[in-house]
Parts: sequence; C-alpha cells; structure tokens
Amino acid sequence: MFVINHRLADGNYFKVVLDVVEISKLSLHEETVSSALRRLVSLFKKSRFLAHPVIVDQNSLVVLDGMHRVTALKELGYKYIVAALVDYLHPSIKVYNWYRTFTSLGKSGETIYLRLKATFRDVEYHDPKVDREYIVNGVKNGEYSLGLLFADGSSITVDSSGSIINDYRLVSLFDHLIQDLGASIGYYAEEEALEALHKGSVEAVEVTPPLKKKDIIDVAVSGKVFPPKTTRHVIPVRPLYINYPLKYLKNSVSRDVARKILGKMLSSRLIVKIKGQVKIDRFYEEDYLYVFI
Amino acid sequence: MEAGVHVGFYTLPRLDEKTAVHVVEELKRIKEELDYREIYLLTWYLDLDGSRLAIIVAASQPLKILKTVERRLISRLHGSGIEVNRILVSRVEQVGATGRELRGLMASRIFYRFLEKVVKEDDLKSNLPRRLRENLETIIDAHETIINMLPEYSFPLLAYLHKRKGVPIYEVVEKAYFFTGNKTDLQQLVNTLIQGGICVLKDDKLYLNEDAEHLVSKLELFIRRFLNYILTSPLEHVDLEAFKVKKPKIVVLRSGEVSEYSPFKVLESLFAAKVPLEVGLKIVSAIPLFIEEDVVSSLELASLVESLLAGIDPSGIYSSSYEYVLTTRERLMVEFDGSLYPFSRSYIRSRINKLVDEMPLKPAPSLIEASLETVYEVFRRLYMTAAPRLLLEKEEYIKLRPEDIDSILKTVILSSSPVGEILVKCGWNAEEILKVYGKRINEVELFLRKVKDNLRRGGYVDPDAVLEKAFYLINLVLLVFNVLPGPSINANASYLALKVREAKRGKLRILLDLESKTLNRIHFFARKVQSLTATSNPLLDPQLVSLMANIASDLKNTMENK
Repeated sequence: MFVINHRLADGNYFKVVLDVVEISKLSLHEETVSSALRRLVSLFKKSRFLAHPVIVDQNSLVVLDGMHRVTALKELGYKYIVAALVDYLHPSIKVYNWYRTFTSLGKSGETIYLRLKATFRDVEYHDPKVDREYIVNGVKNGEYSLGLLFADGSSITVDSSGSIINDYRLVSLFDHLIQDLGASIGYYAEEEALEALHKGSVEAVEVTPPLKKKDIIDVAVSGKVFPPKTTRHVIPVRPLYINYPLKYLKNSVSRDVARKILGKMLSSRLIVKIKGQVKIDRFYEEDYLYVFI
Repeated sequence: MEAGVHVGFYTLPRLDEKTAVHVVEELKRIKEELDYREIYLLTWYLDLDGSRLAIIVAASQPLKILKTVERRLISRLHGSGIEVNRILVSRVEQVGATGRELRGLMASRIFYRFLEKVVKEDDLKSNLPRRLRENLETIIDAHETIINMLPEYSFPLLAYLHKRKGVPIYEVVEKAYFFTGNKTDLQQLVNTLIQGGICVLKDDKLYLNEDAEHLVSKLELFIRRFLNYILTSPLEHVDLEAFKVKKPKIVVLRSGEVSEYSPFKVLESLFAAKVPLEVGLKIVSAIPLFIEEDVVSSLELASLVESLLAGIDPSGIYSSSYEYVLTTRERLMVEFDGSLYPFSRSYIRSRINKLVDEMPLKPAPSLIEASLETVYEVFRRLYMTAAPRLLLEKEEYIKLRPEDIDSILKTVILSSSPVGEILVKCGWNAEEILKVYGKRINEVELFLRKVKDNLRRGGYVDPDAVLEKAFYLINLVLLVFNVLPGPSINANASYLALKVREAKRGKLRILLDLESKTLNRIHFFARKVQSLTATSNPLLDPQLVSLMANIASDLKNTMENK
C-alpha cells in the first residue's frame, strides 16, 4: 500500500491510501452501462496493467468512482483491484448530481406532459408563468422527485416518492421515455445545464434530486444501486497512471504480497503533482492530480 | 511569464522498442538545440508498457519551452509512423523525490530503521561486539528520556530533520512513505514528536530540539562505526546471522515486475563493478541485516548496496562503478536493419514469437517464459562484466547482434525442453518425435499396472517414480497436441488441461485420434497432477495411478493402431 498525504488549502491534510482490495468486499452504488462495460472488458483482456485506481470509501468500501472497472475485472475473474481509499465523509469530498439536457426533442412541455400523464399519476404541468427557480428549489428541498424545464418556459414536476432511490429510478424512466420520443440526452453539472437552457442550446433540462453521502452509502451497502449517471463525486486529489500489473490481481500472489508490490513499485516512481480541472480521457474536476511516472 | 515547472503527458500509440529509441534520440537532439535558452531542467520519461511519454521542463518560460519541444518532436517524427498525442500539459505544483534524493532517502530509512530496532530491542543490542555495545549504551544512557519518548518509525524521520535543519511540515507529511514505509500514520507521528517537544514547529517548518540533534549526531557516528565493523572486519569475525531478521525474497522493479531475490545476482553486479570478492561477500551478507521485509524494491536494494559501498570506499569509485553496472541493461542495444532496439524482455519475446512461428511444434508458454528469462540473464551477465571496461572507453551503447540472440534462444528452448534432444535428432518432425518419445509407453504402462497392484496390496510405492511417469505422460500428450513441453510438470499439466478443452471443442489439430473418453481422462489427470504438484509434499493417490494406467493403455493402443 502507498499513502498520499495531500495538503489542502486550509492547511489540513487529505489522506488517500492506495491499496489492493478484494473485489467481493466492494459495494457498487450505481448500475453499469452495458456498452461501456463491454468496451472495458475487451480493453482489460488485451491490457497488462490497471492504469488508474478506483475510488472507494475506506469505511463502507462503497465504490465512489470506477463501477465499470470493478465490474469488468470481476467478470474477467479477477479477485482484487487497486483502490484509492478515502474518507468519504471528509468535507472536502463533494457529491453532486447530474442534470440531464435534451436536444432534438421538437415538442413543447405541454405535449410531453400529455404523454407522461398517461403513465404517471403524480405528474404535474406548470405553465410558463411558474418561475424555473421555484421548480429547481422544489426538487432540491424534496418536494418533487424531478422537474423538467422546457425552453418555452413551461415545466413538469413529479411528486417525491419519499425515497431517494425510487426518485432516481423515476429519473431513469423519464430519461428513457424522453429518449424514446427521439430526444438526445446529455449530462451536465447544474449550472452548466441551466445555462445551456437559458442560452437556448438545449430544449429541456431535467432537474434531479440532490444526494447525500449517507443515502449513497446506505443504498450501496443494502445491495441496491442507483441508475447510471446519478452521482458526480469531486475528490480533492486523484492518483493517476499507477499502471499496476493486472496479473497480481488474479490470485497469482497473496493479497499481502500484492500490497507490498504496490507499495514498493509506487515508492520507486516519480510522483508529479499537477493542477486538476483538466481534460484527459474525460474532465477531471479534482483540484489536484498525482501522476505516477 | 512566471518561471516554474511544466509537464506534458503524451500517448504514442504505436510505440515499440524501435520507435522508443528514435523518440529518445530526437528528444536528445531537441534538448541540445534548446540548451542556450534559460532551461534549468529538461527531462523525459518514456514508458514502453503504457506507451506514454512525460516531458518535464523547468525554465524561466517553461510552457513556451515545452510547447517548442512538443512541436519539434511531432514535426521530426512526422512521416516516421510515430504518432505523438498530447494527453495534457499542466503546471507542476510539486515533483516528488527523484534520482539521488530518492536513493538517499531510501538508504537512510533502511539504516535508521535498523538502528531503531537495535536501540530498542535488547536481544539485538546484546549481539553487538562489546566495544560497539558500550558505545551504544552510552548514547542511550545520555538520551534515555528522549529515546523512551520516541514512537516507532521515528528514527528515519529524525535523521532527515537532522540533515535538512528545518523542513516545511507539509513536505515531511507528503513524503510519509519514505520515512515509515507506510507502517504508521506519519501525521500522528509528527504530532507526537511535537507534543513531546522533540520537534519544534517554527514558521511552518519542523526542527529537531537540541537534544534530538545531539542524539542523531551520535547515532550517525555509531552507524558509521557499525558499518565499518561489518564491512572491514575479517568475514569470519562478523556474526551476521545474529542480526538477520527476514531475508528479502522478492525484488520489485519500478514497473511492478518481480524477480526472486538472489544474493548471487548482487554479488555478480559487485564483481562486475570490480569490487573485491571479500568486500562483495560482506555486502551481500549484510543485506538481510538491513532489509526488514520479504519484499524489497530494486531501488531500495541498489540504494542500500550503493551506500554500503560508499561506506567502504569513501572515494566513491566502487559505488559509481556499481551504479554503472546497474544501468548496463539500459545500455544494451540490438542493432538490426540499421536501427537500435533496447535489449529488453519484450524484445526477446518478439524474437521468440518470430521463432515460434517457424517451429512445427509450438513451445508451451512456460517453456517460452523460462527461455526468455535465461536468455535475458545470459546477455545481462555477459555484458555486465564488460561494463567497467566500457565505462573507460565511454561507449554509449553496447550493441548486440540479433542473430546471436536468436541462436542462443533456439539452444535455450531446446535444452530446456524434456524432448529437446529427440527433437534435434528427428529434425523437428513432429510425427517422428512422437514415435521416438512414445517408445517408452509400454514400459510406463507396465510400471503403472505394477504400482496399481502394489497399492492395492498396501505395498510401498515411490511417489517420485510415479510423478516421473506422470511427467512423461503429460509431455507425450502435449506432443500429440503439437506442443513442445517445458521443464515444469506443474506448468505442463496446467497447459495440458487447457489444450484438452480446446481439443474437445475441435479447435486443435492433433496427431493421434484420441477418443472422447481418453480426452476426459487426460483432462481429469492434468488437473489432478496440477493440484498435486502445487503442494510441497505430494501424496500418492491410488485414483491417480489408476487413471494414469488407463491413459497409458489408451495411448499405447492408439499409437499401435495408427
């Protein structure tokens, strides 16, 4: 194992422990997307290394980031994975939700409402007179499961189910229904999504309910999972390119030896700390990235 | 623009041994061209396994320089088929310990951790010779209060603080691994030291108090005396056994690849560095003394040996010569088609794959791996001994010829296979080899029937003799499957189980028409042998013998009817 003690702006330290953990002990909190999983399985079949560790809560062993990597390795018969263990309840780890944006919809809020009304009981239509902020706040304070804001100013809401996982299952159902109407879906942070609607670059935005760390842990530990693209975690620091040989994750050596190899290997590498908020294979929102060369 | 450090990360999708050399040559050239600019550092790390390149620039205008390097590299490589794709370019906030600093940190941790145990454990202390023990006891008596307050793993940190005289606290905490090897929480350790007054925090910098400074000065002197004792006393006077805690067993390379620790390899490197044999023997004997764990990094090992050498020879000739020997591998190149390829395991693998393509019998993977390691070692050892001479001649590369590698490879593959000799005689004719190797089947079948009867009557059976027959049967079936068996019964059994599955699915061309019943028996047998030979004390199983006898009989009949 290898410890990164990262100094935060307030002078405190944020600890990341890179360790070899048993896959069967991890709990996922989000469903995987079949196409992404297949792609990763085929990639791991050809690869000899695990490039990046998955991010895991050290106390509950809930996977915060890396569901697909965990599932792909499990499917390929691997027993272990390298995880960056963090204290999820540390205030510097933020959890956000993804807002959905829709383009190529070509339908008004009212038309969508009439379609949805046939299927859902608690769906409500709000004409353009109702302020968008009111809808957004309604979702945020738990009154609604979700809110759909349309470019014409109208909106649709569904009453909250009282359970965060059910609310998100509803979000997922809505996503599919709206996509079935021919719309293309996008996933953005709250501000970006609302800005896009304001600018008219998208036709509708789906406002999703906020998430609490405790809800995520409870759901995952109970063996349930949120639909894909539910959570968005921002961790102060992320280790990248550890390039750990996959062969040690397949029970060829004991966990103890695999952990020692990880520690010795990483301590022989050059660690370069760079500013985050950069796009590599995707956008890394973290403040800092620790790259092992 | 602000001075600083920038790093560029790139992927080179088609990076291989040959292109890697080309990329490095171009980078060297670009560095030379840019030398007149205000550049403090321009370095790169090319990772063949991950096909990645990192370029680090420290300069008055680092971003500008980095972009120039990037632009020139892409333009020079244009048309060569080598693509350079930028992953990201970013300002570096901090670079971890590199090169000498890293090695120094590791050696210091190893020595001081050892000393910590000697100070705190009476058993170890009592093994010291009288003069050294008295010296240490005087130090302990003079600093008893502070020593009793020190938490475990604090010695290496104290040594670092003593050397640096005031280190920003964040730097200490961020370098946690290098002080404690992650065995304890460094933050907690630092807090305990501050609370106990052993460390003082002033302007965010950590200092040792006066007493601690004195203690480390004395300990530093003691280490020198101790090293002097073990490295200069006549070998027979040094009771190193008494200090041995745990021998290192596995050596981890930077890439994560591992190899078994061998004192002989260390001795070889020392010998190649022209270190006298007696000194080399002392160093090799002293290694287990300082290495705490069963897993050690090659960097730790090299740092330790280098520091021990520096202790013996303050002029530094041994240690620099040793360092050169260690980097010999990086200087070994294969010249082919006018280009240079680094001599590496992956290069040998590419040669083996080429050779295997031409072979009518395909070597088992274990045979390939064993041959690869042997060939790699042959060349490494051969040229390692030539390194000091080359050092004098200032040759940059040691060039190897691919045909020499191929010819050694072929010899090694053949000599490592249990059927190698027959193969040479039969001129690679698979059917002929099978015929010759299969001649023993009658004798083996008869033997197994006797053993079976003997076991039934409760008589004694030599397990080794049965395992030898099992090895023969496994190899025979592998030949039937067009596979050249390797030297390990366990690895061959495991590969055989895999091949039987393929044969059952009709995905394999086989030389004998084996019935499905026989294939099932072989599969079961291979699995049984695999688990049996994985244990250190295999017990003979009557079911296995019966199975072997049936397989031998099936094979005999099939070969006779062919």
